[in-house]
Amino acid sequence: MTHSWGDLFDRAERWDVDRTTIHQALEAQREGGDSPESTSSDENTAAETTDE
Amino acid sequence: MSKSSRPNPARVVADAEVLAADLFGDESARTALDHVRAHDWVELVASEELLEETESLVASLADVDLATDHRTRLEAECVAVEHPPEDHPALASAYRGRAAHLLTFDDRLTSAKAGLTLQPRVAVSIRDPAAFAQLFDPESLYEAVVGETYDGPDADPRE
Repeated sequence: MTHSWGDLFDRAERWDVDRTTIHQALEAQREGGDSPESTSSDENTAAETTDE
Repeated sequence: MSKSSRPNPARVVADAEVLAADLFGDESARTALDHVRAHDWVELVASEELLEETESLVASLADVDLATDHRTRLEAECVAVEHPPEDHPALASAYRGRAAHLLTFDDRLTSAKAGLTLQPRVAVSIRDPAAFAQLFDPESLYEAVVGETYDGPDADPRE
């Protein structure tokens, strides 16, 4: 089942989350190894995909 | 650059931070993505890795139920693309999805230096959501992409 955007936004209001908190959580997530750690992988992406 | 590899000006990628900021009500992210949601012909592009990163981020900030429902909605909306798992999820989604726009708060990507490094390789406009919202011109874009006269938004951004 998919929820409407309005419903999702209403539910998200329960948490008082600002952009700084989001940024810090993402940085922590990346440092934890859940996703690419640095922009060096950006360059890898660009280099690897140029030849497609 | 061949026509088939040219970026599609009606395709947009938002990185995990922007997708989460939109959900939690950040004004610039919400305004930018409302432009996308209000126009059926504007497509959001995302990879599995980008959706995974976003879901984990939302779960860490709120709860698993909201993160799961948000992801499910994004999956229903997005054009899905694939890329190597070690690639940057948002950048690779933009490249693989031929998106002309990448929305991010990451000044490492929006900086002039990053532009000089990436632009010769990845023809994507990397902008802060506020800048995208300010510059988004659906009328001229619709005429260029669809080839017809723009009649205004064709979707409810809260549906």
